[in-house]
Amino acid sequence: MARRKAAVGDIDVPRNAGNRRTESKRALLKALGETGARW
Amino acid sequence: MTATYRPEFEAALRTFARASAIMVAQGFEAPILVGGAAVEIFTASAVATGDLDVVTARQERFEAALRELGFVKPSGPGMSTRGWIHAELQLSFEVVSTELLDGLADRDRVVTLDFGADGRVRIISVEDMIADRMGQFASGTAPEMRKQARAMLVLHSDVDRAYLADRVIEETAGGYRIEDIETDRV
Repeated sequence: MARRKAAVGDIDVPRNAGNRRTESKRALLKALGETGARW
Repeated sequence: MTATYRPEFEAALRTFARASAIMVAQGFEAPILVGGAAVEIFTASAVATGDLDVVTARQERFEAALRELGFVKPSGPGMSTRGWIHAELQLSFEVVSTELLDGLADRDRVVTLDFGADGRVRIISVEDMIADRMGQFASGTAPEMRKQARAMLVLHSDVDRAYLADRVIEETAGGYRIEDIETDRV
């Protein structure tokens, strides 16, 4: 896959916009964000 | 593993492998990784996440394994989540279902990655992940998912095309076909 990725070049892979997140997921990501997590 | 993934993501996968190994040692089936983390795997970290979604029929056993590894369930006013976090690792897990894509995904196609002494992780197949993204795109609520599907297809030219074709039709209720993804620009 790494070779294929190098051959293809830049690929536009958008992050999840979050429109479908459940309340549980929103709360979890908030808690995770408070740990300083960034990705 | 090689340097295919971000170091932080490889560390997350190794943690998942250790949690999986705990379950297997207790005689339970290992959980399966789905969602954005599976997309990160299948795009070699072209998209990044620290929030891992998991499918398992034994949620309580998986969460016990997470506790053993130092994860906690966030609590406090207004904090209602089914997920678990590890502040030091800056990582979270959430069991999102007991069934793989509502039972539509072929469990025999689940992929296994070996992390040596840390154990193994199981991941939904790339075909089912592409179909899942197209299903979310077709719902009209997640337009970004089509590009995720396209990226995975471009990077995995060895997909089972017949299976993927059927699954895309199934997940999109006939609204889209594999050819729609193939003709998209990267």
